[in-house]
Amino acid sequence: MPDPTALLPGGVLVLDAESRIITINPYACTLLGYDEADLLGEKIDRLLTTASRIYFQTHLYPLITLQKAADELYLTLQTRERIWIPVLLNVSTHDQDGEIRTYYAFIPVYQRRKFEQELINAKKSAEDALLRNDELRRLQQQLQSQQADLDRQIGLLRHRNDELEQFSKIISHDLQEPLRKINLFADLLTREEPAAFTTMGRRALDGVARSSARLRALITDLQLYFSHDVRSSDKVGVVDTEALVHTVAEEYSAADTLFQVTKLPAVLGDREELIRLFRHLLDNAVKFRHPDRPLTVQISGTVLSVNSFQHLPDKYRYNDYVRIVVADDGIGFDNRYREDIFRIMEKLDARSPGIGLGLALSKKIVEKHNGQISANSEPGQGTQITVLLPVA
Amino acid sequence: MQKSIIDRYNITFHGQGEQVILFAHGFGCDQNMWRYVAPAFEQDYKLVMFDYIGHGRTSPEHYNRDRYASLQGYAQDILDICHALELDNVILVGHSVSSMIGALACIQEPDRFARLIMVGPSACYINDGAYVGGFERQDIESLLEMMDGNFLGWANALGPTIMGNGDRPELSQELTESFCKTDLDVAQQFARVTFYGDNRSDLPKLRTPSLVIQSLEDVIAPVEVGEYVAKNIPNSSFRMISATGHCPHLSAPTETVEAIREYLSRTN
Repeated sequence: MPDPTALLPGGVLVLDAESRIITINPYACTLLGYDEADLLGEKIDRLLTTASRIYFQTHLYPLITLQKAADELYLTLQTRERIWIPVLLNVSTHDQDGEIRTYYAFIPVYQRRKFEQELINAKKSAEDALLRNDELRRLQQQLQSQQADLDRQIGLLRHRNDELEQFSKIISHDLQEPLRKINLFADLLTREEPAAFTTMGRRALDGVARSSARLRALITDLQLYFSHDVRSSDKVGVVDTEALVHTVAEEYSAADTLFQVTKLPAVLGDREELIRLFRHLLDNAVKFRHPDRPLTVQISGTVLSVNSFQHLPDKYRYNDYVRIVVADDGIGFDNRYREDIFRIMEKLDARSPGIGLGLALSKKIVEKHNGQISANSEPGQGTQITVLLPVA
Repeated sequence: MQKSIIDRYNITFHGQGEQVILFAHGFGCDQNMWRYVAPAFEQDYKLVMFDYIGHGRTSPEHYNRDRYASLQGYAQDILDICHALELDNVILVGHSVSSMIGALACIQEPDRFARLIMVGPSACYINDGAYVGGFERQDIESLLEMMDGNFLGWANALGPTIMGNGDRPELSQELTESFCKTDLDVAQQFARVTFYGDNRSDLPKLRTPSLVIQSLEDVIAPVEVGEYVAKNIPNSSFRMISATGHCPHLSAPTETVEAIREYLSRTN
């Protein structure tokens, strides 16, 4: 009996491990417009449309390799004349004396494919309509609940703002007044004859003067922090961060301090505020330098995509931000405190100057720009402050 | 946290070593893709594998269209896994589109990754002026149509009713546990994000030392495309292997293993 595949009314194809054709039957040759000799040794890609080549490589090949067989696959072949032929195929893989052989049987499905396409289209538009409906309803519910939320938040914020304003008044006026008086009286006392005091009395007086000076500095800082406007600024524009950082770095230039500023992308922000931000950051680097070595501060930047939703869960919109990293080789700190350092009045080292306001203010400035700020540090190695600001 | 992330991404662990190799599968399959390559590293490394949402054994209910509207969402998956499992000094191995996903993750958190190994990467699949990516937009549209056809005639039709195994659910179970299972909606959005994506401007930002493993004949990521990737990433090596096709880790696992091993020992 002659080889049945010669007269079989369906395509038969056998491929080797590298997807090269080693057998193709006359039905397939005629269908595709080739002579058998044209195709033997050729890769299967020769018979596939571009889309089918992608599908073959990304889906079929892995599936066939791992599963050894697959049924009812749909693929589009391409004839020598570049005519597309939709086919349905079954595949199985066999190991024959150490050689991997993949057997394909297929039939063209012109008519079925057309029907199927219409079915798919109808199904899709029905699903789309349903989905749109569902989606709209879901969004509407979400919107309503978020509006209620928003309203409550606005009320809360108003209340908070009033409190803060009052607090600010208390700080700037009510607290200052008794402090001024303490200073005044202490000053009067210091003008007394030295003999009028015992040693103890003199020491106590010095203590009063020191503490009230410190209290004054504290109040000034607190006032600065709480009066810092959190509303968005109307002075937002394109800021050349590279030039800005260079200018700020010059303020801190010293013989044993090196600022390395690499190319920084421009950001969208309030120039004055950003100057303040970098002043705080560089100030910190200088303040917490390592006593035994010269200080090097590297400031570098890149543009990257970040989800701009920071508070709502499961909400995503990726926008481009500029990431600026200020890395020093100062004393560093225990990374456990990497979040605490941005809180007001949080000082890791009680002996350090200031009240630990710089980073809290920095955070305020960055958040006002819809950005983010974070820190990473290693004791003895140095600190990295990372700032994300909207790209210009 | 750990448990939920392990379920969410169907994370599996193998190997006895210390340093972590994290394997990320490409478009069209799941972590089974790595089964011929991974065992070679079990002795010396801790191997972590996962499926993206909507692939393999993960549940599509965690799919979020907004999150996965760009490769950034997938990069976030890798970062979320690293955070939850506290993985550091990671060797990230990505196939196909996961090469670029991996690059984005490395750019986001350069300190977390020690090496990035890209198997068959492309920074842009669509031809654009002088740049040859290999495809036109209409090719991708045809691909999406073909995926439609296969899911109607294949995944759905292989369900219990048509197979007539309604009374023997274990048979249908076996079929649905087939390899490379993907949810159609997920796969189609993944295809769009993958093939319409353009990450050429991200390449120079990558600081992690990286290796490009390039097959000799790959219709999806041809040699020029792989060379382009390697050339535009600082600190990158290029390794051509004589495998053919887009999945050398399936078609030539020994060579692929050798390429990875050689790179890791050379750059150690």
